[in-house]
This record gives sequence, C-alpha cells and structure tokens, in this order.
Amino acid sequence: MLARLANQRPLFRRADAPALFAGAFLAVPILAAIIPGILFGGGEAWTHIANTLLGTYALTSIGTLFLTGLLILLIAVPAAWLVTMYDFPGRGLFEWILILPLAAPGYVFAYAYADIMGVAGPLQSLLRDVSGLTARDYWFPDIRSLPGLATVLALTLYPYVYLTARAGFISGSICTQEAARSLGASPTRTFWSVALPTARPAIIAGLALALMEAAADYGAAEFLGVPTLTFGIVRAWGSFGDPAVAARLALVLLTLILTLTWIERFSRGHRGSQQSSSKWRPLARIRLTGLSALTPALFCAAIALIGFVLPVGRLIWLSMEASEHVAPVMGAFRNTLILASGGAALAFILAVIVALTIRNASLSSRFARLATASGYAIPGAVLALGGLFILKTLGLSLTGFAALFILIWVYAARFASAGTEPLQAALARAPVSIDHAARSLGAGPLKRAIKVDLPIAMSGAAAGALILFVEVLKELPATLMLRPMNWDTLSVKAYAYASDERLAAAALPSLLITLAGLGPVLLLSWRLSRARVSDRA
Amino acid sequence: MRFMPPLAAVAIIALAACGASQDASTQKTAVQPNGQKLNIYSARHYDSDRLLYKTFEDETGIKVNFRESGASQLLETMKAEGENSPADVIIASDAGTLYRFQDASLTQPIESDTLTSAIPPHFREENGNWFGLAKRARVIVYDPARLNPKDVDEYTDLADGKLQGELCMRSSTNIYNLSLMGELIGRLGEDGAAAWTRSVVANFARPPQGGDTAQIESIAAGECSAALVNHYYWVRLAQSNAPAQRALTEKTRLSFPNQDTDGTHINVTAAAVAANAPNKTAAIQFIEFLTTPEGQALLTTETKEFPLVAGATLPSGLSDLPDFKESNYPLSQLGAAQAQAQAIYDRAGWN
Amino acid sequence: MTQFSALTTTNVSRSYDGTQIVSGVDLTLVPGTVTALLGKSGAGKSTLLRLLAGLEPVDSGEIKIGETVLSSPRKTTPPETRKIGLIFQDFALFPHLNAAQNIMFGLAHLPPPERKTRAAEWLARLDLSARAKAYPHELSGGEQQRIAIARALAPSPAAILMDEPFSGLDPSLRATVRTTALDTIREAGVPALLVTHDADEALSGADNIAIMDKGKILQQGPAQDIYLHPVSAKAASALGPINCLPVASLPADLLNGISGTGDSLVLRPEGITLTPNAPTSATITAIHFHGPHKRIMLDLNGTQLVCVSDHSTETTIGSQMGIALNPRAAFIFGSDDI
Repeated sequence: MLARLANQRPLFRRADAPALFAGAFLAVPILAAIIPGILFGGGEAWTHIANTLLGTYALTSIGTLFLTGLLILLIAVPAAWLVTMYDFPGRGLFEWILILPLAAPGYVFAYAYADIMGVAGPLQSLLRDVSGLTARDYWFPDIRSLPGLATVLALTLYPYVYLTARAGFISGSICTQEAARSLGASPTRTFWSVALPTARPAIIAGLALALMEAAADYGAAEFLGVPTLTFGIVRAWGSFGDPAVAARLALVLLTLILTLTWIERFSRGHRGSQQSSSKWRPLARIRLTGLSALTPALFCAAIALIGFVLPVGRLIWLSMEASEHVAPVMGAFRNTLILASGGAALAFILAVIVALTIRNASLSSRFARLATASGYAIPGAVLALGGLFILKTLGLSLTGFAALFILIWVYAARFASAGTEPLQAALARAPVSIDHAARSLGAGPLKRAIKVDLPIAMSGAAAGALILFVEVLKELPATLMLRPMNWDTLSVKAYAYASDERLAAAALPSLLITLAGLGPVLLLSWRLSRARVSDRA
Repeated sequence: MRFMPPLAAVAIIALAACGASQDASTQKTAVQPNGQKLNIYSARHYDSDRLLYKTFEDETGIKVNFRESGASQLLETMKAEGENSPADVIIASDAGTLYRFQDASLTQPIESDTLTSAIPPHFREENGNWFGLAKRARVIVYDPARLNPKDVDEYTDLADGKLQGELCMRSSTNIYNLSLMGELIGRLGEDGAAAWTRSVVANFARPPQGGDTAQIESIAAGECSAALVNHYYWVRLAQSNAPAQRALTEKTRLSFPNQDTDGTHINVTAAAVAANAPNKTAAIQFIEFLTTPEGQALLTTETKEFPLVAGATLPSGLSDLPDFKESNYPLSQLGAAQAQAQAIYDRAGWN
Repeated sequence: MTQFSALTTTNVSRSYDGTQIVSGVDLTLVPGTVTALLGKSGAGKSTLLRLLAGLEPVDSGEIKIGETVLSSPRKTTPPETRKIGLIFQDFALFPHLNAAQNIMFGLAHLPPPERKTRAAEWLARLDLSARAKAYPHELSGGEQQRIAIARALAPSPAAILMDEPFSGLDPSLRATVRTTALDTIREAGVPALLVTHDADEALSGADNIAIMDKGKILQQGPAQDIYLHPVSAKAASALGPINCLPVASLPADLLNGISGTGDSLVLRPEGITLTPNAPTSATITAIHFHGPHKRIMLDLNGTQLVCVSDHSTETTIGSQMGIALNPRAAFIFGSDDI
C-alpha cells in the first residue's frame, strides 16, 4: 500500500488508519444526530417553525454571539495585556483569579445572576428599600434578556480568550515591541500596531472556542428565557415532540458556526503571524506606580468581582438557606467525578490521535479534523439524540454499561476539539525540521507519530486533559438524557432544582461543579505561568 | 506516563460500570429483597420521590431503579429502546405528557379495581393507559392592594382591558400554560381562545419570563398585579424556612378562577405502565401503592399538590386554602391539543 | 548633512537582583564609526545595549548624546523619544506588515506621500525594490536583515545599536551582508554600536572595539591598536585564541624584545615563528591544514602551544622544530592582569 512514486499520494495508507478510525468514531454520533434532520425534519412542525420562529432564533443566536464576542474581547484582551506587560499591585493575584470563571458552567452563572439581578434579589430589594419606589417606577437592567444572556456567557467564557491572548502576548517576540518603541511608537501605538496584530491569531482562536461554547449553550439560554437556536432546538423537540425538527435546527446552527469560522480564516489573508524569532528573553514587566497603577488594578478587580466573587458568593449564601438538600447532592458528586474522568480520558485519547495528524494532509486526517470540529459545534442535546440512534441500532437499552458507554462516546464527540487545540498548539511550536530529521533517520509516518510527534504534543497534554475534564464536568443536556439509571450528577441536580424553581437548593450542586472545576483550572494556570519560564518564545 | 490516560480511562469505566449496576442506597431494607425489580421512568425530579421509591422498596422487597429526565427525553429514550426498554412505570407531572406516551404506543392498558375505585374517571384514561395520582390547580395570584378579588375570579378576566399593564406571565412553551390553553380551546373554541390570548398579551406588564415563582416575586415587588401560577408554588413559599420567601405570600393572594362556572383548571401527576414492561405485576403494585394514604402522602407532602384519592391527608399549608370547585374537563384531551395550543400562543406573540 | 553627536556613557552601572551586570562603564561611540562591543555571553553586553536604548534605566552614571542627557539615575528618556534605532539578532520584523510597511513604521510623523517615497528610496538603496510587498516570512535571511537595517535607518535616528545582527545568517553570506550593512550604516554618519561575541566579526567589521568582561570595559580603542596592544591577557584573549605560559619556564633569550613586565607570557598563535635551527625548540605534535595557513600544535617542555604558520617551512609530526617569538604578537603581563 505504500506509494511507488514519491509524488503520488495514495488515497489511504496503513499509517492513516488511526486517524480514519478516530474520525469515524467521532463522526458516528454526529451523523446519527444530523441525518434524521435532513431526511425527516420537514413536515408541519418544521414549516410552522420556519415561518414563525426560525428567523427569531437565528437572529437571536447571531445577536447573542456578537454581543458575547464583543464583551469577551473588551474584558479579556486588556486584562491579558495588563497582566502580562505591567506590574501593579495585586497583579500576581489577578493573574490566576481571572481564569477562575472557566470552572463555572454558563447555567450556574445564569442561576446566580438571575437571583442577584432579579426583581426579588438583593440589588433591587435594596434599591426599593432605600428609595421607596416600587418595581415599575424604576428601570433596572433585565438579566432575562439577550444582553443579559450575553453578559452571563461572556463572564464564564472570557477566560478562553484571556489564556490565549496571554500566550500570544508573551510569545510574540519581545523584540518586535522593543523595535517598535525604538521607532518612536508610544506604548499605546505599540499595543495597537504591533502587539495586538501579532497576538491576533491566538486571540481569534480563543474567541472561536468561546463562541462555539456560547452557541451550544442550552442551560443559561433556557433559564433566562432567551430564544437562541439551541434553546429553540430543545423547545421544538418538546413542544412538537419532533426530534427530527430539532436536528434540522442543529444543522442551521452548524452552518452558522462554520460560516463564522470560514469568515475568520478568509479575513486572515496571507499575512504572516509566525515569529521568526527563536531568541528567548525573560519578560521584564513595566512597573507602574501611583495613579497609573490604580487603573489596571481597579479594572482587574472589577472583573474578578463581577466575574467570580459576586456570583460564587451569592451561591454560597443561597446554599446556606437550603441545607436540607445536602445528602443527595453528595452522591451526585461522586458520579460526576467518575463521568468527567471517564469522558475526559476517552476524549483525550481521540484528541491525541487527531492532533497528531496536524502535519498530514491525507484524506483521513482531514476527515478526522472535520469530525472533531463539527462535534464541538453541535449542541449536546442533539448529539444525545444521535447517541439514542446508535443505541437503537445496536438493539440495546439505556442501562448500565451500555448507557455509560454511549454517554462517554457522546462526550468524546462533543469535546474532542477542546482537547486537540492545546496539543496542536504544542506541535505547531516545534519546527518542521524535527520531523524531517526523523524521516532522514528512517522513521515511517506511524513511528514518527508515536516517537517524535507524540512526546512533543504531550507538552500540551496536561492542558488538553484538564480542559476536557472541566468541559465534561459542566455538560448538562447529554448527561441529562443518557446517564445510567439511578445516577445523578451535579449538573443534573442543579438543573432539576433550578427547574423546580428551588434556586437555593440549586446553589450547592452549582457550587460543587465550580469547585470541582477549580482544581484543574488552577493547575492549568500554574502550568502556564511555569511554562513562560521554560518554554521558548 | 503516556499510558496513564488510557489506563485511567479503562479503570474508571470499569469502576463506573460496577457503580452503575449497584444500588444507589445502602441502608438495610425492612423486608428482605426478593430479587424482584421495578424500573421507573419519571419526568419528576423531587427529592421526596426518592423517599417514595425507598419506602416502596422497604415495604415490598422490590428493588426500585429510576431514570429521571425530561418528558421528551424519556419519550425518545423509550422509542429508541423499543422492545428492550426496561421501563415499567412512567410518571409525569402532566396529563398531556402521558397522552404523548400513549400516542406513541409506549403505554399499555391496565385493569385494576383498586385504581378504578380510588380514582375518579375524568382523572384517568378510560382504558387504563394512565392514572392521575395528585392534583395541581392553575390559579390566579394577585396583589390584593391593587386588585379586587372580583377582578380576577375568572380566567377571562385576564383578557379584560382593566388589567392593561398589570399581567406577568411565564413563557407559553411551559407545559402548564399549554395544558391550560388546551382546556380553553375546548371551552371557548379555537377562535375564542385565540382572542383571549391576544387580549391577555395586550395586558402584559413585561414580556414573559421566569417560572411561576418569578411571577409571584414580580407581583410582590410591584412590577405587576396578577399572574397565572400553579397553586403549589405559592404554598411552598408560604411554608418556606426563609423569611424572605414567606414575605412574598403575605403580599399576594390566590384566586381559584371560574368557581361560578366550569371550575378551576386541574391537571394531574399521573403514572402509566409501559408497553413493554418487564415487571408488569410490580408496576401495577407500585401504582396501587401510590393510591394508598401512605403513598399519597409521600407523593404530595413535599410537592404540595392536592392528593387525588379521597381520605388522604392534606399536606401542611393546603388546609389554609379554600375548598374550590374543580373543572372536570377530560384530561385525556389536553395532550392532543398541545400543538394547537402552542400555535395559538405563537401567533399572538406570547413567547 | 547634519552634524551628528557622539553617544557616550559615563560611569554607568546597572544591577539586577543583587548582581552587578554593568559596572562603571565609560564608553564613547564616535559618529560615522562602528564600535564593536565584544565579549563572552554573560559579559553584560546586551544589558549595556538596553541601557543605551532606554529599555532599562541606569542605576548610576549618565548616558548622553552630545550634551543631552538621555539616562541618569533620576530620569530615563523612553525609547520612543530617544531616537535611537535598534537592530536585533532575529531582525524582529513585524510579521503582519510587508517590507515597505515595516520600513514606514517609524515614519509616522511624516505625511503619507513622503513616507512612501522615503521607504522606496531605502528599498532601492538596498536593492530590494522588487520585494516591497513581500511579508517577512516570504523573505530570505539576508533580505530580512536589510529590511531591518532600512527600517532602523529610515527615521534618521541619532544612533544605531545592533545586537548580534549577523549571527542569524548563513556563514557564506555573513561576510558580504555584513560589509554592505556596516557600510550603509557608516554612510548615515551616526554613532553605531555592534554587540557581538565573534572576535573575527569585530576585527574585520568595526572601526573601534570595546572589550567587555563581567560588566566592565577592559579596553577600548581602534581595532588595530587593541589587537596589537592589549592591556591584559584577558583583553588579548577576547580578540583571538592565546597561549599563556609562565615566564619563568622559558629561556631568557626567547623573550628578547617583548614588552611588558610580569610573570606571564601571552602569545598569539601567529606570535610563534617556526625558525629551524633556533636555540629553543619544541616538538610538533599535530598539524592541521587550514588552506592558506596551517595550525601546528607544539610541545615545549611539557606545555602545549598553538602556532599558526604559512607553508614556507617544512613540518612533520614528531620532529623537533626551532621556535622564535614575534614581539608584535607576544606580551608579558603581571599575574594580577590576568
């Protein structure tokens, strides 16, 4: 099966097998989810939706994504810049505190903020007590609205961009910034004309990840009552009892996301972004004093407060009101950790296989990468339907090991992409010449993948594994549907209590999800700060 | 190190598989387990239901397994499982939901004298496909400082121009609103129901948002003066440990509409036996258990629904409510009207 | 043309985390000349460059251009107002801008038409007009080097500082590119500093050399002067390999004509002349052919010496060969000068 002629690429080589297998494995739930939509999704329910609501859903989704993206950039990019380039009081603390919201799912913040900002919540109650007005006499921002949803999502997702922007600013050759300054550019101009454009690919990558998450969000949109496509998908399924319609809406969502990705790639043009530098110099931060030190400190403090301290604090307060619901939650905690570990592990293995195809342009590799990217863009609720289809085809019932396996399979399909990103980034940092050296030493593609690329990719492994763990931890819709009998997870419990309008009871499981995610997130942050010292620029 | 993740995955999946097949509870049972099983697919998710399952286990020795999820999810799961579905009992909080299961041929007709004598005919499906077990009334909650009881004693009052800017509602997609609309369609005809909906929408103080509790909060804060809620949300607040929540019920009152006409809209928590139930006898036994005073109490004490079977104890808080006339609209018709109900809401702009 | 001023440092020091990196440095960069700052890694060269560039403040001393103080313990003029051009080892071209845009970056104070003209002029001068629209990753190393120079010179800076700018180039290109680059810089008429660890580069490319070791300047002056008259063994070794042996171990007549007092003899390889039949002789232990010359390892009473010689003398391994010393390449230092 090996090519006879050096420039003739065969359709399939033995070394492509892992990529093909990984791609197929990931693609199955996706296809199982989408194909019914194409084949069966028409009919009365679809016509009704298309005529009345599809426009609203699509516009709401686009609007939410736009606003969320804007807010994320406004929060994360300056924060990353300040924390990377300057030294000001509290910088060391803010550096890692700003990552923490990553541990909380969107729906947890939705619960917390709905309570804080709601008409019966502490802020409005205080306002009424102090001013004597009634609720219809004043205007107060409404959290249960598109801007409200965008804000909540931006607050949980900005750490993606914060992390990648930080990496982008750090690895952007310091020399270019010094060159810019020597050419007369003020620090402001250096930021806009040099540092930012150089970090742009990293920022966009983080933003893409964050927006995909935002698009797939279900819990927050449902709780806040904002009719996004994903929410519309589940609603259609509920009201019309027609999952095929849901699948068709998911197709619309997928198209939207792929369009966005394509636009971004197109706008990049053929401008370069790779640094030619291999010289590494420790980053000397500019020390700020006095008034100019106050602004960054206040900015970061405000983000930390609004983005983490306030919602978590409120949840802690609420959970103390509902102590009678503790026992069932603890069992859920154990199950949650098991599922998160298992799901993350399988997704990780697949992510590694897919990441190793980065240098490969073969059909199998491209297929694997496409499958990974698509899975991330499809809401968990729809992939879960795909999982059911698989179940049906295999003639199984949703019990015990079968349920677990299908659920973990769906996790892998949904989240593998989050795992491949750090691995591929690690591989991309290594020069191609290493691969060429290996070839000259007689290593075939498979051997190269295992003995050369894999160890290099592993420098991103911890990041990949940690991210995957946190993602699965937070997942709700697929878990809700596919988990084994008698199993509760924290996300399911939080959702159940919140749907029963027992927000105080929902606080504890919500907090535990966040807590469980804090560990990996902090670990990630610690590794990043160490990496800056030992990694090459 | 490289092999850690895959090994860990295998280990964890194995561990989990053991856990999945194990008992969720580890306490001693009063009656020794007799090897029988019962699998419940429930669209409810109250902590008190766990106590219910466990009590049944203790008293009969039948091991109870449960899957709690949304109704649509359970429906799709059972359809995918087909004949292999382990589901024995289906429980849902709305008659319309059970209609969907029946319509999808996922239930089977049951004959049980216990059930037919305990449950009035309009609260169960005529062939025994499902049985109502607890009642929930959809009532009007209002601000007595702003509105007279007479202003809100009929559902049609909500469409009255007097109430312009005074109504708070939850989303129309919620099953409670859909079922109410089902009855309104039956009572007022499609055009009448559509007209009612349009007028109600014109009276909104704000766009529909939040759950039933949020509507009560809005009224207490002065944002509006009337809303539709299920009675038990209000009762739960009144019985709450948190003073802030009790305060909400001091500022609001419940009105049980249509006392002079057809009676207040009632829906039920109901149970059905699954079409392919592997443990049919246990399933019937369980549903019958739910009609006993003990079963009724376990079902309704925490949720504050009305027990359906005569002679059962009233959960605390419900005795403060007045006796009221219940509508006897055949609940089996609510499910069939659901799509139509949603369409009416959508066209009127009630999100 | 404008008269340019000298860039001087007076007793400049800088320490970091308790370690003295630069210590009491007096340096003068004369306009129109290239001064090489030569030393091993860790000598403090890059730090001194950063002090001159304004990227770091001085702890003590002053940096002036002409009479204007740029850095002092009290204030540091920031790089953006200091008007000193920088060229880096990795060129540091802005990857998102093409060649012409890179050059125009420092010309923001000029009206757009003039910016374009000046960039075009520089591209033409460096023979890169055809590559104006190319992005850095599309340029070869030598082309990037030239763009970096053009970018630094286009805003007519008052001085140019280069941090090992040629080490990233092909060795075969290095000499040519270096000549072109340094000629262009000299033409600009400003003081220029070339930080390097390569003695050959300093000797062939620079007008003046300043030798730096452990934060101090050991010696500075015209290249030839320093080569022929080092002040210490360390200064001598900075400019090329040396042989070092105690004076006491050598016959007195060998040391005739060699200047300096002390107990150590420092010899450059070319300082040992092969003189058959000379009174002192050493054993030839190895011969390495190097094209126009050869390197010969000698054993003189147990001390290993390296000698460079042309091919006029026959040499065989193992044989004895008489040696004499060339006073222009041999020096005697006291042990505290080592």
